[in-house]
Amino acid sequence: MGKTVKNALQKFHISYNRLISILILIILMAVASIVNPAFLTADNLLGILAQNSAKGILALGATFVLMTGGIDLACGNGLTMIAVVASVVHITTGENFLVLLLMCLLLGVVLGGINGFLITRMKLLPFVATLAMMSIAKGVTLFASEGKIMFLNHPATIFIGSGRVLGFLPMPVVIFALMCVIAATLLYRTKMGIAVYALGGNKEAAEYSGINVKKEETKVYVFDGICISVAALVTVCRVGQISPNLGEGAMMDAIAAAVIGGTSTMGGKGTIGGTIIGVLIIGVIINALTFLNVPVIAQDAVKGLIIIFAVIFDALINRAKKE
Amino acid sequence: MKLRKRVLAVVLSTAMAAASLVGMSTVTWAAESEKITVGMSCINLTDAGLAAIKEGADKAAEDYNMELIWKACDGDLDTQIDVIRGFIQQGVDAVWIDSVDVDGIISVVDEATDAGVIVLTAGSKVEGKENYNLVYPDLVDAEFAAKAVGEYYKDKEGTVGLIVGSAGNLVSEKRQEGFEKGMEGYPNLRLVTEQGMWDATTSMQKAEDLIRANSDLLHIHVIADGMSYGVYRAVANSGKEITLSSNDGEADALKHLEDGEYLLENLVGNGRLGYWGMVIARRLADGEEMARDQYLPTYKVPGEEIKPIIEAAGLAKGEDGYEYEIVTLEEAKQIGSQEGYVEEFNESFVPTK
Repeated sequence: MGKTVKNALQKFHISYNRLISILILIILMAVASIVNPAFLTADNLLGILAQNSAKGILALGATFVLMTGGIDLACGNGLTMIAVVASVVHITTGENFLVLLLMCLLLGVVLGGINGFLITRMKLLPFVATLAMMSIAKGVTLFASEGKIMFLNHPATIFIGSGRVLGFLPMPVVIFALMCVIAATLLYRTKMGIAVYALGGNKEAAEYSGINVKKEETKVYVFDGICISVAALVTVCRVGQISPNLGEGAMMDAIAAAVIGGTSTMGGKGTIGGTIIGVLIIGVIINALTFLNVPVIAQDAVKGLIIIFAVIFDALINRAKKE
Repeated sequence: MKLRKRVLAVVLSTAMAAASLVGMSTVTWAAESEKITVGMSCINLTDAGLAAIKEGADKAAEDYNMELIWKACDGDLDTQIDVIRGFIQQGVDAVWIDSVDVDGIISVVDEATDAGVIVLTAGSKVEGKENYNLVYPDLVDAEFAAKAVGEYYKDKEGTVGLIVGSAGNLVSEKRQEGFEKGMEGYPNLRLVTEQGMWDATTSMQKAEDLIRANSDLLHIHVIADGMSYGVYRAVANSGKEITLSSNDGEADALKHLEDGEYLLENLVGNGRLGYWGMVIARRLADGEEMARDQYLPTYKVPGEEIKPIIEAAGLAKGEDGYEYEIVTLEEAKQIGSQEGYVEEFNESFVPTK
């Protein structure tokens, strides 16, 4: 029986870790739909996906960084900075959508490039470099926005934020899916992907095996920066406004999603599929709290408890598997 | 004809002289008073509401010969205490505090007043020895909003959503408490509460969840304008007929009210709040005596649809003889504008005695 299950999992390239994540997700969804049948409707499930698309894109970047053994503490504030600066330029230049798009991408590449430079060339620890960038991003955000709220009304931004493809698929979900395909291609089909796993496993060994560690690690942070910029674009288009506290808490959710999805904080381990499931788990928890009508004062604690339970459950199963 | 011209000339010159006197009065006050320095300790500088408070306070500083030093503590009490101690050492004349924790801050508030510094605690009451509390009636204002919504949906059964800031935040909790109290008289309406975390993105997400989870959702009340714009987007995207109300009375929210997209607003006016606080600081520094608790008047701004319902229900008279000030949209725009609050808190303004 065990062998049959193992064969089936291998056939579909599903690891035990992934299976556990899927099980946790199914349990959460089952509980929520029993209490409130409105949970398990196409409208709500697509809504959860749309709400968590920006976080998911951020989590894809975080997955790459974590897999190299690094961390990006600036991703949340970076998202806010990119969203605010690009939107301010977009609004002040007469609301040209192309300006918004290019500014987002440019700022993302610059942010990732600086992180990569500080970590690989200046030899700063990822924790220190990105912590400093977090502070800089916060300052730039305040400077650019002057603490004010501004609105985006260009038809293209409205379409990206709330438009639907084929009449039912929210645009943020389409963008998230596209980013997942790009991330998966990079990780599983390119030299960069091999380098990501190698860097997280053993950096010295990777260097001896001919991998240009500095170059590959910088590329990872640049890709992370691009993910942040796309997440910023989706966020700002969805909510239709910018404010200096836009997307607060996004960093925690992105890293948590990657870790719940099986990405190791020590590096060398992680998958795109796992991260997608991690994003869904976080999204379903937040959504289910509303459907279950959990009181406001208990929501944070309940969310934290479910995440801890998910991680402990995962660790226990892994230990049992090893034994 | 000549006489008419002469009369017109006299009227115009009198008006110009009066206008210049009004303008001069502020300038004279500013010039005659010694420059004072005020340490401004706030929870954060990223909140849009606080940015508006800063704008108002900076305008007052310009009008009344004051220098403001702004410091944020990112929601950390220890940092806030250190910031205030730093202000005392710098020898500031006054400190304005947006407290992280009203109890935890008391000791340093007393340290400051003992050192001769004027202390103004904003938003929530801090029970220090000699500080001045700058407060506004959050509790009763939220209660009014709930009653207005309750009366509006008196003949219907359904759910009312409430988007608060965050659990543990005093302003958020007071507004939540007031709204819940107001809804108690309407058992036909079920109240569900969610946290918007003072962020439009989170508020939008919470509103979307509320809409999908409650097919009978009639109304969403948001406790701050900054969060309400995200909620408005969620409601608009849903295509459902759900009414909205909010608090603060910022210009963008009043525009939604004007367009019939909001049912009701409560005008506090963050810029107005900042300006008023600094006028109080200036007057205290100049030796004026006033009560320890200073109350900022707030105004209820009903949309056209709900106005007759509020009047019919007699909601203008609250409990214990409390009288709500109800104003028109045009009046609200004027009160909330910089021009409006500069005029409201000029030399003839009487603080709570």
